[in-house]
Amino acid sequence: MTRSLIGREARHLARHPVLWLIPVVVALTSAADSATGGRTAGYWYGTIFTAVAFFGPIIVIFPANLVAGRARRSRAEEMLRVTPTSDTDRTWAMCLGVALPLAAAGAVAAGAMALIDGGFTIPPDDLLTAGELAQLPFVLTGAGLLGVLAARRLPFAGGALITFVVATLGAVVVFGRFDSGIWWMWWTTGFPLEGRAPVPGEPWLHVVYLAGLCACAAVAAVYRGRAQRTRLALVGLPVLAATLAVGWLQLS
Amino acid sequence: MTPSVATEVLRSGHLARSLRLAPFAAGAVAVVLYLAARLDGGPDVIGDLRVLGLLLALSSGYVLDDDAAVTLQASPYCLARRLGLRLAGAVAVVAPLWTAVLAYLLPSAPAGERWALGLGLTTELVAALALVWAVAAGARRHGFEHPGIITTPALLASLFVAASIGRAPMLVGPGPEWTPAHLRWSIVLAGATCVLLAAMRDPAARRSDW
Repeated sequence: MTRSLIGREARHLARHPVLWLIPVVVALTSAADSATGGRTAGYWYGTIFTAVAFFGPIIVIFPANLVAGRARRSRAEEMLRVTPTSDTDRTWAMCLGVALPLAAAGAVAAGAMALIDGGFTIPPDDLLTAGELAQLPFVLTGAGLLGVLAARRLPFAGGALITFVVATLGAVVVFGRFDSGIWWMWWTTGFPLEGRAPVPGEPWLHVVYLAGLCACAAVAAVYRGRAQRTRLALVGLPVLAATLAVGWLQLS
Repeated sequence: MTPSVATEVLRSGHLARSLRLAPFAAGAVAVVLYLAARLDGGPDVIGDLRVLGLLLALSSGYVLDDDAAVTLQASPYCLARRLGLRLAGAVAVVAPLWTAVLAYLLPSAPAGERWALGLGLTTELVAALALVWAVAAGARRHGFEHPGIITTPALLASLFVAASIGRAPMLVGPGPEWTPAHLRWSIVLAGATCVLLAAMRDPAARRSDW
């Protein structure tokens, strides 16, 4: 039952027109870009990176939010309450239905970048390590789960906008204030924040840290409401503690 | 009849109650927090003003979300006026905030460039607002009951595309490209305004050949 729900949610996300803005924007920007250095392998490597680590996460918050909030918008929540699947199961299915296709898309993009790197010479400044490439699926997945979290926790008009502003602008402003900020952000460590010196760390542990952030978002989205507070604390606090511990470990 | 309806809607507080205030409040709070965070920041006045303008444009994208829109479709107060009243409400929030932001940040810019910067960046903001509202009005015309949420990705996507056009740069700093870039912004503004006006026409007023 839950598996079919996951598939249904994944299909809803995959068919959402706002999600398809990403390839449209990438195609348009690539066509409009004068590409002074020519459309080399390095150019396409950078384009895929920008699509997955920049356009993708920024845009994907909104279709994920729209998919996760459609029952509320269509006032179908009352009817769903009497179905045999609990709200918790439905939300887990929602989280997985959003996370799995996005993780797959991120993995395909990271694989394409690795293939380009294998066949052509990429400028060293643009080149990502294997650990940094492995972060990309989790960046994209995390953005989708943020959209679901916003739909569950901020179920009003503007909830997605608030999440977007806090998660992007807020994160850049807050984490940009200290050197190791990039390692605490829900972003790849491949490029340091503007004006900040690169801080050494372990990119593979950042992958685990990003996975932990995804788990935190999913748990916070699933266990909502007064009746679920105990479960939220029992499941959420260990996940949060483990994520923070990995966050410290990645810098040591 | 028309002015009295608008006055009554304003006076009774119906307009304020029917507007989505959360995005406006979030936008205003974000503007204040951003200014506070940048107090000791670098002197990138244009970058800061662009970010703040973007925040204001994004927060006003929800202004055409209206739960009562279906009920009001049958009212004699036409669609263009109903939407116009809501847009005026958004302008009443955005204009003072933007003026305050300009008054706060522009003195940090070189004295000779302040007017050009203020005018140019205001053109950018107005074009972004027109684009956001055109998307919202167009989406509502095509059956989206709450189009606010799609205005954010639409505006961001447009900005990404605009920023990528190397031959006709849109996001430039002061210099020889400033005026041509803002002529392009004016073209965007004119185009978005035309789309907005077309989307505000009452569908029921369309001529039928039958």
